[in-house]
Amino acid sequence: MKDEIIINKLLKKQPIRLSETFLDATLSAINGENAADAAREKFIDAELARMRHFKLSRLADNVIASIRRTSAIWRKIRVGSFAATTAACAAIAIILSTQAADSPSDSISINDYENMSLIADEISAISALLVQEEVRDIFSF
Amino acid sequence: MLQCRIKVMEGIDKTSKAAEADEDAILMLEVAKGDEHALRMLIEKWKNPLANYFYRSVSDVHTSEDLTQQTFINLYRAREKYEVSAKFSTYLFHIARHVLINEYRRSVRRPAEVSDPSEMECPVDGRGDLALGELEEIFHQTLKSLPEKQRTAILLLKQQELSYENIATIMDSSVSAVKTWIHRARNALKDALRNSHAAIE
Repeated sequence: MKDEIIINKLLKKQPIRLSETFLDATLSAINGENAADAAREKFIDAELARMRHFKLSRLADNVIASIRRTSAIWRKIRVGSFAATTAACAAIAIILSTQAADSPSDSISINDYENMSLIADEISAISALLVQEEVRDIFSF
Repeated sequence: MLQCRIKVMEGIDKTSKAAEADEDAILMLEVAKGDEHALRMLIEKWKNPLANYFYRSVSDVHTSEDLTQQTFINLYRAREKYEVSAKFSTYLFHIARHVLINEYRRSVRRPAEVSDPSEMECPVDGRGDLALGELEEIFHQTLKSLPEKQRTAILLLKQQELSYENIATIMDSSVSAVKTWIHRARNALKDALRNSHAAIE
Protein backbone atom coordinates (compact mmCIF):
# COMPACT_ATOMS: atom_id res chain seq x y z
CA MET A 1 0.00 0.00 0.00
CA LYS A 2 2.85 2.32 0.90
CA ASP A 3 4.53 1.62 -2.43
CA GLU A 4 1.29 2.39 -4.23
CA ILE A 5 1.11 5.80 -2.56
CA ILE A 6 4.74 6.54 -3.44
CA ILE A 7 4.18 5.47 -7.04
CA ASN A 8 1.15 7.72 -7.39
CA LYS A 9 2.99 10.62 -5.79
CA LEU A 10 6.04 10.26 -8.02
CA LEU A 11 3.96 9.83 -11.16
CA LYS A 12 2.00 12.99 -10.41
CA LYS A 13 5.11 15.10 -10.05
CA GLN A 14 5.47 17.58 -12.88
CA PRO A 15 8.90 19.18 -12.46
CA ILE A 16 9.04 20.99 -15.81
CA ARG A 17 7.83 24.56 -16.04
CA LEU A 18 8.39 26.02 -19.47
CA SER A 19 9.51 29.61 -19.61
CA GLU A 20 7.41 32.59 -20.61
CA THR A 21 9.23 32.74 -23.93
CA PHE A 22 7.86 29.35 -24.98
CA LEU A 23 4.53 30.79 -26.08
CA ASP A 24 6.06 33.41 -28.36
CA ALA A 25 8.59 30.94 -29.72
CA THR A 26 5.82 28.49 -30.57
CA LEU A 27 3.63 31.13 -32.20
CA SER A 28 6.63 32.30 -34.15
CA ALA A 29 7.28 28.73 -35.34
CA ILE A 30 3.63 28.38 -36.36
CA ASN A 31 3.74 31.67 -38.24
CA GLY A 32 6.91 30.47 -39.91
CA GLU A 33 5.04 27.35 -41.02
CA ASN A 34 2.31 29.51 -42.48
CA ALA A 35 4.82 31.62 -44.35
CA ALA A 36 6.53 28.49 -45.64
CA ASP A 37 3.20 27.08 -46.83
CA ALA A 38 2.44 30.31 -48.65
CA ALA A 39 5.88 30.28 -50.27
CA ARG A 40 5.33 26.69 -51.38
CA GLU A 41 1.98 27.58 -52.92
CA LYS A 42 3.61 30.41 -54.84
CA PHE A 43 6.44 28.15 -55.91
CA ILE A 44 4.05 25.46 -57.09
CA ASP A 45 2.05 28.02 -59.04
CA ALA A 46 5.26 29.04 -60.77
CA GLU A 47 6.01 25.38 -61.49
CA LEU A 48 2.57 24.91 -62.97
CA ALA A 49 3.00 27.98 -65.13
CA ARG A 50 6.25 26.57 -66.39
CA MET A 51 4.68 23.21 -67.11
CA ARG A 52 1.87 24.90 -68.99
CA HIS A 53 4.48 26.64 -71.08
CA PHE A 54 5.64 23.20 -72.13
CA LYS A 55 2.05 22.04 -72.64
CA LEU A 56 2.35 19.66 -69.73
CA SER A 57 -0.27 21.21 -67.52
CA ARG A 58 -2.47 18.13 -67.14
CA LEU A 59 0.44 15.92 -66.23
CA ALA A 60 1.92 18.49 -63.87
CA ASP A 61 -1.44 19.04 -62.20
CA ASN A 62 -1.75 15.31 -61.61
CA VAL A 63 1.71 14.99 -60.15
CA ILE A 64 1.35 18.01 -57.94
CA ALA A 65 -2.11 16.99 -56.77
CA SER A 66 -0.85 13.58 -55.75
CA ILE A 67 2.06 15.09 -53.85
CA ARG A 68 -0.16 17.67 -52.20
CA ARG A 69 -2.35 14.94 -50.82
CA THR A 70 0.64 13.62 -48.91
CA SER A 71 1.41 16.28 -46.36
CA ALA A 72 4.72 14.70 -45.39
CA ILE A 73 5.99 15.24 -48.91
CA TRP A 74 4.37 18.64 -49.23
CA ARG A 75 6.32 19.92 -46.25
CA LYS A 76 9.56 18.67 -47.69
CA ILE A 77 9.22 20.92 -50.66
CA ARG A 78 12.00 23.44 -50.37
CA VAL A 79 11.29 26.50 -52.36
CA GLY A 80 13.88 27.10 -55.01
CA SER A 81 15.58 23.76 -54.51
CA PHE A 82 15.52 20.43 -56.25
CA ALA A 83 12.77 19.08 -54.05
CA ALA A 84 10.25 16.44 -54.88
CA THR A 85 7.76 18.44 -56.89
CA THR A 86 10.33 20.37 -58.80
CA ALA A 87 12.31 17.29 -59.61
CA ALA A 88 9.28 15.31 -60.70
CA CYS A 89 7.96 18.07 -62.93
CA ALA A 90 11.39 18.80 -64.28
CA ALA A 91 12.04 15.17 -65.10
CA ILE A 92 8.73 14.84 -66.87
CA ALA A 93 9.33 18.02 -68.79
CA ILE A 94 12.87 17.11 -69.74
CA ILE A 95 12.01 13.58 -70.80
CA LEU A 96 8.95 14.54 -72.77
CA SER A 97 10.41 17.65 -74.32
CA THR A 98 13.59 15.90 -75.40
CA GLN A 99 11.41 13.25 -76.98
CA ALA A 100 9.82 15.97 -79.11
CA ALA A 101 12.32 15.85 -81.93
CA ASP A 102 10.81 18.75 -83.79
CA SER A 103 11.31 21.28 -81.04
CA PRO A 104 14.21 20.28 -78.78
CA SER A 105 15.06 23.91 -78.18
CA ASP A 106 11.80 24.36 -76.31
CA SER A 107 12.83 21.96 -73.59
CA ILE A 108 13.66 23.16 -70.10
CA SER A 109 17.19 24.40 -69.95
CA ILE A 110 19.49 21.76 -68.54
CA ASN A 111 21.33 24.60 -66.81
CA ASP A 112 18.32 24.85 -64.48
CA TYR A 113 18.95 21.32 -63.31
CA GLU A 114 22.68 20.93 -63.05
CA ASN A 115 22.70 17.85 -60.95
CA MET A 116 20.73 15.17 -62.71
CA SER A 117 21.63 12.48 -60.19
CA LEU A 118 20.08 14.56 -57.47
CA ILE A 119 16.90 14.76 -59.47
CA ALA A 120 17.00 11.01 -59.98
CA ASP A 121 17.30 10.51 -56.22
CA GLU A 122 14.33 12.74 -55.60
CA ILE A 123 12.29 10.91 -58.17
CA SER A 124 13.22 7.60 -56.63
CA ALA A 125 12.09 8.85 -53.22
CA ILE A 126 8.67 9.90 -54.38
CA SER A 127 7.98 7.43 -57.14
CA ALA A 128 5.97 5.21 -54.82
CA LEU A 129 3.64 8.07 -54.14
CA LEU A 130 2.86 8.95 -57.68
CA VAL A 131 -0.53 7.69 -58.62
CA GLN A 132 -0.68 8.32 -62.33
CA GLU A 133 0.16 5.32 -64.45
CA GLU A 134 1.63 7.49 -67.17
CA VAL A 135 4.00 9.06 -64.65
CA ARG A 136 5.04 5.66 -63.33
CA ASP A 137 5.83 4.61 -66.87
CA ILE A 138 8.04 7.63 -67.34
CA PHE A 139 9.84 7.00 -64.06
CA SER A 140 10.54 3.37 -64.87
CA PHE A 141 13.56 4.32 -66.94
CA MET B 1 -4.64 11.79 -37.22
CA LEU B 2 -7.17 11.03 -34.55
CA GLN B 3 -10.03 9.05 -35.97
CA CYS B 4 -12.58 9.57 -33.29
CA ARG B 5 -15.54 10.77 -35.22
CA ILE B 6 -18.72 11.44 -33.40
CA LYS B 7 -21.81 12.80 -35.03
CA VAL B 8 -21.53 16.41 -35.94
CA MET B 9 -23.38 18.42 -33.37
CA GLU B 10 -26.68 19.80 -34.47
CA GLY B 11 -28.17 22.97 -33.12
CA ILE B 12 -27.13 25.57 -30.63
CA ASP B 13 -28.19 23.58 -27.55
CA LYS B 14 -25.81 20.76 -28.26
CA THR B 15 -22.99 23.20 -29.02
CA SER B 16 -23.59 24.90 -25.69
CA LYS B 17 -23.43 21.57 -23.90
CA ALA B 18 -20.16 20.79 -25.61
CA ALA B 19 -18.83 24.19 -24.60
CA GLU B 20 -19.72 23.53 -20.98
CA ALA B 21 -18.22 20.08 -21.13
CA ASP B 22 -14.98 21.03 -22.81
CA GLU B 23 -14.05 24.68 -23.13
CA ASP B 24 -10.79 23.70 -24.80
CA ALA B 25 -12.70 22.09 -27.66
CA ILE B 26 -14.50 25.36 -28.25
CA LEU B 27 -11.19 27.20 -28.17
CA MET B 28 -9.87 24.76 -30.75
CA LEU B 29 -12.82 25.51 -33.00
CA GLU B 30 -11.91 29.19 -32.65
CA VAL B 31 -8.33 28.36 -33.61
CA ALA B 32 -9.67 26.75 -36.77
CA LYS B 33 -11.36 30.06 -37.56
CA GLY B 34 -8.04 31.86 -37.20
CA ASP B 35 -8.31 33.14 -33.63
CA GLU B 36 -4.74 33.52 -32.35
CA HIS B 37 -5.89 34.43 -28.86
CA ALA B 38 -7.61 31.04 -28.56
CA LEU B 39 -4.40 29.37 -29.67
CA ARG B 40 -2.45 31.31 -27.06
CA MET B 41 -4.86 30.17 -24.36
CA LEU B 42 -4.52 26.53 -25.37
CA ILE B 43 -0.73 26.72 -25.47
CA GLU B 44 -0.58 28.42 -22.06
CA LYS B 45 -2.86 25.84 -20.51
CA TRP B 46 -1.31 22.71 -21.98
CA LYS B 47 2.38 23.51 -22.41
CA ASN B 48 3.46 22.26 -18.98
CA PRO B 49 1.35 19.06 -18.89
CA LEU B 50 2.74 18.17 -22.33
CA ALA B 51 6.31 19.02 -21.40
CA ASN B 52 6.10 16.84 -18.30
CA TYR B 53 4.54 14.00 -20.26
CA PHE B 54 7.48 14.11 -22.68
CA TYR B 55 10.04 14.60 -19.94
CA ARG B 56 9.17 11.28 -18.31
CA SER B 57 9.99 9.56 -21.59
CA VAL B 58 13.03 11.44 -22.85
CA SER B 59 14.58 12.75 -19.58
CA ASP B 60 15.81 15.88 -21.29
CA VAL B 61 14.35 19.33 -20.72
CA HIS B 62 15.26 20.74 -24.13
CA THR B 63 13.97 17.74 -26.03
CA SER B 64 10.75 17.88 -24.00
CA GLU B 65 10.35 21.53 -24.94
CA ASP B 66 10.98 20.79 -28.61
CA LEU B 67 8.47 17.96 -28.61
CA THR B 68 5.91 20.14 -26.86
CA GLN B 69 6.37 22.80 -29.52
CA GLN B 70 6.08 20.22 -32.28
CA THR B 71 2.84 18.98 -30.76
CA PHE B 72 1.35 22.48 -30.92
CA ILE B 73 2.56 22.91 -34.50
CA ASN B 74 0.91 19.61 -35.46
CA LEU B 75 -2.22 20.64 -33.60
CA TYR B 76 -2.31 23.88 -35.55
CA ARG B 77 -1.78 22.07 -38.84
CA ALA B 78 -4.74 19.85 -38.05
CA ARG B 79 -7.00 22.74 -36.99
CA GLU B 80 -9.25 22.65 -40.03
CA LYS B 81 -9.87 18.92 -39.67
CA TYR B 82 -10.71 19.18 -35.99
CA GLU B 83 -14.14 17.97 -34.91
CA VAL B 84 -15.60 18.05 -31.43
CA SER B 85 -15.68 14.30 -31.18
CA ALA B 86 -13.85 13.65 -27.95
CA LYS B 87 -12.34 15.61 -25.10
CA PHE B 88 -9.75 18.07 -26.32
CA SER B 89 -7.13 16.50 -24.06
CA THR B 90 -7.72 13.17 -25.81
CA TYR B 91 -7.10 14.79 -29.16
CA LEU B 92 -4.03 16.65 -27.92
CA PHE B 93 -2.36 13.65 -26.30
CA HIS B 94 -3.09 11.53 -29.34
CA ILE B 95 -1.01 14.00 -31.35
CA ALA B 96 1.61 14.15 -28.57
CA ARG B 97 2.01 10.39 -28.52
CA HIS B 98 2.64 10.33 -32.25
CA VAL B 99 5.19 13.11 -31.88
CA LEU B 100 6.93 11.04 -29.22
CA ILE B 101 6.89 7.87 -31.31
CA ASN B 102 8.36 9.81 -34.24
CA GLU B 103 11.07 11.10 -31.92
CA TYR B 104 11.93 7.52 -30.95
CA ARG B 105 12.22 6.59 -34.60
CA ARG B 106 14.44 9.59 -35.30
CA SER B 107 16.66 8.86 -32.30
CA VAL B 108 17.16 5.30 -33.51
CA ARG B 109 18.32 6.60 -36.89
CA ARG B 110 20.69 9.25 -35.60
CA PRO B 111 23.79 8.78 -33.43
CA ALA B 112 23.37 9.17 -29.70
CA GLU B 113 23.93 12.69 -28.46
CA VAL B 114 25.88 13.57 -25.39
CA SER B 115 23.54 14.72 -22.65
CA ASP B 116 24.36 17.18 -19.95
CA PRO B 117 24.33 15.10 -16.75
CA SER B 118 23.27 18.11 -14.70
CA GLU B 119 19.92 18.04 -16.45
CA MET B 120 19.41 14.38 -15.71
CA GLU B 121 19.92 14.55 -11.97
CA CYS B 122 17.72 15.88 -9.22
CA PRO B 123 19.49 18.33 -6.91
CA VAL B 124 19.65 16.83 -3.43
CA ASP B 125 20.60 18.11 -0.01
CA GLY B 126 21.22 16.18 3.15
CA ARG B 127 21.23 12.50 3.88
CA GLY B 128 17.48 11.92 4.00
CA ASP B 129 16.97 13.81 0.76
CA LEU B 130 19.81 11.88 -0.81
CA ALA B 131 17.95 8.64 -0.20
CA LEU B 132 14.77 10.17 -1.57
CA GLY B 133 16.68 11.51 -4.57
CA GLU B 134 18.11 8.08 -5.30
CA LEU B 135 14.70 6.53 -4.93
CA GLU B 136 13.22 8.99 -7.38
CA GLU B 137 16.03 8.51 -9.83
CA ILE B 138 15.62 4.73 -9.80
CA PHE B 139 11.87 5.14 -10.11
CA HIS B 140 12.08 7.46 -13.12
CA GLN B 141 14.76 5.38 -14.80
CA THR B 142 12.46 2.38 -14.44
CA LEU B 143 9.56 4.41 -15.80
CA LYS B 144 11.65 5.48 -18.77
CA SER B 145 12.72 1.91 -19.45
CA LEU B 146 9.15 0.58 -19.58
CA PRO B 147 7.70 -0.35 -22.96
CA GLU B 148 6.21 2.77 -24.56
CA LYS B 149 2.61 1.57 -24.23
CA GLN B 150 2.95 0.80 -20.54
CA ARG B 151 4.66 4.10 -19.79
CA THR B 152 2.24 6.19 -21.83
CA ALA B 153 -0.79 4.48 -20.29
CA ILE B 154 0.29 4.94 -16.69
CA LEU B 155 1.44 8.54 -17.27
CA LEU B 156 -1.83 9.49 -18.89
CA LEU B 157 -3.73 7.89 -16.01
CA LYS B 158 -1.74 9.21 -13.08
CA GLN B 159 0.14 12.25 -14.31
CA GLN B 160 -2.54 13.64 -16.63
CA GLU B 161 -5.48 12.10 -14.76
CA LEU B 162 -7.27 10.94 -17.88
CA SER B 163 -9.90 8.20 -17.86
CA TYR B 164 -9.28 4.67 -19.10
CA GLU B 165 -11.67 5.34 -21.98
CA ASN B 166 -9.81 8.46 -23.07
CA ILE B 167 -6.47 6.69 -22.80
CA ALA B 168 -7.79 3.88 -24.97
CA THR B 169 -8.85 6.44 -27.60
CA ILE B 170 -5.48 8.19 -27.46
CA MET B 171 -3.66 4.90 -27.87
CA ASP B 172 -5.99 3.48 -30.53
CA SER B 173 -6.67 0.55 -28.28
CA SER B 174 -9.24 -1.09 -26.01
CA VAL B 175 -9.88 -0.27 -22.37
CA SER B 176 -8.92 -3.79 -21.35
CA ALA B 177 -5.56 -3.48 -23.13
CA VAL B 178 -4.95 -0.17 -21.37
CA LYS B 179 -5.74 -1.75 -18.00
CA THR B 180 -3.30 -4.55 -18.75
CA TRP B 181 -0.51 -2.11 -19.66
CA ILE B 182 -1.14 -0.08 -16.52
CA HIS B 183 -1.15 -3.20 -14.35
CA ARG B 184 2.19 -4.31 -15.79
CA ALA B 185 3.68 -0.84 -15.44
CA ARG B 186 2.56 -0.63 -11.84
CA ASN B 187 4.10 -4.00 -11.03
CA ALA B 188 7.38 -3.02 -12.65
CA LEU B 189 7.46 0.24 -10.71
CA LYS B 190 6.64 -1.56 -7.45
CA ASP B 191 9.48 -3.98 -8.05
CA ALA B 192 11.83 -1.08 -8.73
CA LEU B 193 10.78 0.62 -5.49
CA ARG B 194 11.28 -2.56 -3.46
CA ASN B 195 14.71 -3.05 -4.96
CA SER B 196 15.67 0.55 -4.34
CA HIS B 197 14.49 0.34 -0.70
CA ALA B 198 16.71 -2.69 -0.26
CA ALA B 199 19.66 -1.00 -1.94
CA ILE B 200 19.36 2.18 0.14
CA GLU B 201 18.97 0.25 3.43
